[in-house]
Amino acid sequence: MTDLTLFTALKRAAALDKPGTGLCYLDRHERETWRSYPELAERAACIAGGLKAAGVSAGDTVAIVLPTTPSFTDVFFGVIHLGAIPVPLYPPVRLGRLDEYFAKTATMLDRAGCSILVTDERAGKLMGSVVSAASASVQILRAASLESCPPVAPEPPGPDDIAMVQFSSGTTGEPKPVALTHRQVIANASVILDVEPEDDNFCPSGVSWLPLYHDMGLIGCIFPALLYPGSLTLIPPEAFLAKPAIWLRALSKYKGLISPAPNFAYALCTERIDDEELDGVDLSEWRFALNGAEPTSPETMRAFTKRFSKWGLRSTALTPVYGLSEAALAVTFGTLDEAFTSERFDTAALQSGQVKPDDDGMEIASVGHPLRGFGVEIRAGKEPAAADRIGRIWARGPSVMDRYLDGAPAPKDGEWLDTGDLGFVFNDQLYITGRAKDVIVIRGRNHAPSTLEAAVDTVPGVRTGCSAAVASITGSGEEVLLFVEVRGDTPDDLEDQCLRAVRAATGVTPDHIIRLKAGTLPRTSSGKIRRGEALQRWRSETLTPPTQVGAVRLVSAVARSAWSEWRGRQETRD
Amino acid sequence: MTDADIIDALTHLAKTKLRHEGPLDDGELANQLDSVQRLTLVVAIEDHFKVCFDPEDEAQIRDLSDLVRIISKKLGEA
Repeated sequence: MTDLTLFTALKRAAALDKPGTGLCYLDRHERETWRSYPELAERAACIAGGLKAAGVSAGDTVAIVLPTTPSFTDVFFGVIHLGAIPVPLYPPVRLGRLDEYFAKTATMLDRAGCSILVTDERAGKLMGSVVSAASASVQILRAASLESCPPVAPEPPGPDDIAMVQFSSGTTGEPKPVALTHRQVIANASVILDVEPEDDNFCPSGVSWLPLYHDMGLIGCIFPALLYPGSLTLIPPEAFLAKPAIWLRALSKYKGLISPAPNFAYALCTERIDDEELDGVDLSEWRFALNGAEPTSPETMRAFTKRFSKWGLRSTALTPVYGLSEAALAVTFGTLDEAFTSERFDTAALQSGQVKPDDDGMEIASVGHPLRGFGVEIRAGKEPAAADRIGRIWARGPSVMDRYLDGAPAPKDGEWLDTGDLGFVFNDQLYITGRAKDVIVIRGRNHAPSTLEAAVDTVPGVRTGCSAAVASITGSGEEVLLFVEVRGDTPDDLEDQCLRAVRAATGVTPDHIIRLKAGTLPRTSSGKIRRGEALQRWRSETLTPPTQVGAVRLVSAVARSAWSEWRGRQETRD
Repeated sequence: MTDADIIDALTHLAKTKLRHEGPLDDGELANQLDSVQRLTLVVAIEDHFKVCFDPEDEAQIRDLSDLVRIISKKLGEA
C-alpha cells in the first residue's frame, strides 16, 4: 500500500465495487443515503469539473465547510481528483460566539492559504462574514452547484504530495495547519486496518458519529473504510448528541465491528440512553469500541461496559487509544480483544514525576502499545527518562508529519516528534498523565490540571467537564486558579465545596475559584478547553460568556455575509 | 394550542429528555442548560411539535418566553 494515494484508493475501491461496501449516511431520523464507491468516484469527478472551472489546480488548498452529508465526501474527493488539497473546517453549529467563529475560521483560511471555500446553503449564509475577515480574497462555492458540472480528467497526486491539511487541536495555542502527505494518511489508515480479520469473504463495517473535520472521523473512519474497502455508516454529530441511542442502534443494525469515540461519549450513553430506546439492539458484533482524543476514564469505561452488556456488548470492547493530529491520528492502541488495562499509582509520587504502584492510589488506564511501525519514547529533556519517571512523550512512525503548511518547523528531533504530552511506560504499556505545557507546579510537585478539574465535577451546580485549572505566575509565586462554569441552581457555598473537593482529591488548595456562566470557557474545535487562553482572557478581563445572537445581529451578519460573498465574486471576476 | 399548553409540553420534554426537574424558569436558557441539553431540547421540540427551526429562529431564542413565541409562530405557519 506504500504507493497508494487517496485518489488511487478510491479508484481501486470503485473498480472492486464489492457488494455491501460504501458509505451510508444517516440523518437524524435514521434515514439512509448510500454512496457506493463507484458513485463517489463519479460525483468527485463532476465536483472536480466545477472546481477546475473556478480556477482550482493541483496543489491549491480548498476549504470545505460542510456537515456530515454525502456532499462532504463528494467534495473532499473532488478536490483530491484535481491533485489539490482539501482543508476540512468545522461548520457553524453553535449559537452564540458567531464573531469568534468568523475570526477563527478566517485565521484558518489564512494559515492554509485557501482561496476557495466550498459549503452548503445553510452554512453558506454565514460564510461571507468568514471570508470578509480573512486577509486574502476567498471565493465561496456551493457544493450543490458543483455537482451538476461535467466531469474532468483527473490530475492524480503522487504519494508524497500533500493529501490534506488538518489543524492541530490547539489546546495550548492557536490551531496549526498540519500538512499530511498521501503516504502518511494511507500509512495511518492501514495500521488501523490491522484490527480487521484477514478474511477475503469478510466485509468489515464501521460506524461513526465523529465530525468529519476531526482526524478521528476522517482518517480514523473514512480512509480505512475506503482502503479495505468496507462499509461505513456515518451519523451527524448533532444527531448523536441529541439522541445518543442512534449510535448504538446503528452499530446493531449495520453490525458495526469498529467505532471510535472520545471518553465523554461513553459517559453520555451510560447516562442518557433509556432501555426502551434499545429494543432489539444487539451490540455483540462491536469488537472495537476505541476510546481516544481525550483522557480515558477507567470508571467511565467500566460503567459503559456494565450498562450495555445486557445488549451483548463484549467485556473486551472498550479499548483506550492514543494519537495526535501531528501523527495523522493513531500512535498506540490498547490490546485488542482484551479488557482494558489499568493500574493504580501513588498520587503524591505522580505529582513529583515519579511512577510508584500503589493499590490505594490513582487509577490510570493504559493506552497500550505503539502500532505497527511506530515507536514511543519517554524523555527528560533530550535524554531518555528513567524508567520510573514521568517524561515527555516522543513518537515516531510512518505517518508522523514533516512540517506545518505555513512553513513553521515541526517539533521534531530527527524522526522523533515531540507530542507535548506527558506520560510513562509501565509493564511495556504507555500511560498518559497530561500535557507538558498545562502542568501546574505547586511546591515542587507537578499536578495535571485535569485532576483538579475532575475533582469539582462532583460539586452540585458545576457543569461536568466545564472547568479549567491553571497556574498563574505572580510576584509572590505561583497561584492556582480554578475556573468553573456553573448552572442556574448553584449553591451559595460553591466556592467552599470546590475547595474542599480539590483539596481532598489532590492536596492542593486553589488560590481562587472563579465562577463563570455556561459556555464562557474557550474551547478548541474538538471541544477541548484552552486553559492558557482562559487565563489570558481572565487577566485581560475579556473572559466573558458567549453573546446570544439576536435577530438584528443575525440579519446584519447575513447581510454582511451576502455583501462579502458578492464582493468576493466581483474580485474573482476582476 | 395556547402558550400554557406549549409550556406544559416543554416542561414534560425537559423532564423526560433532559432529566431536568421542575419547570424551566424565566432566565436565559443558556444559564440553565448546557450546550448538549439545548441541542437535545431543540431536537425534542422539533420532533414533538413537528416544526423545524431555521438558524434565524434559533438565534432569537434566549429564554422560555422566546421559545414559546417561536414555537407558537411556527405552529401558526404550519
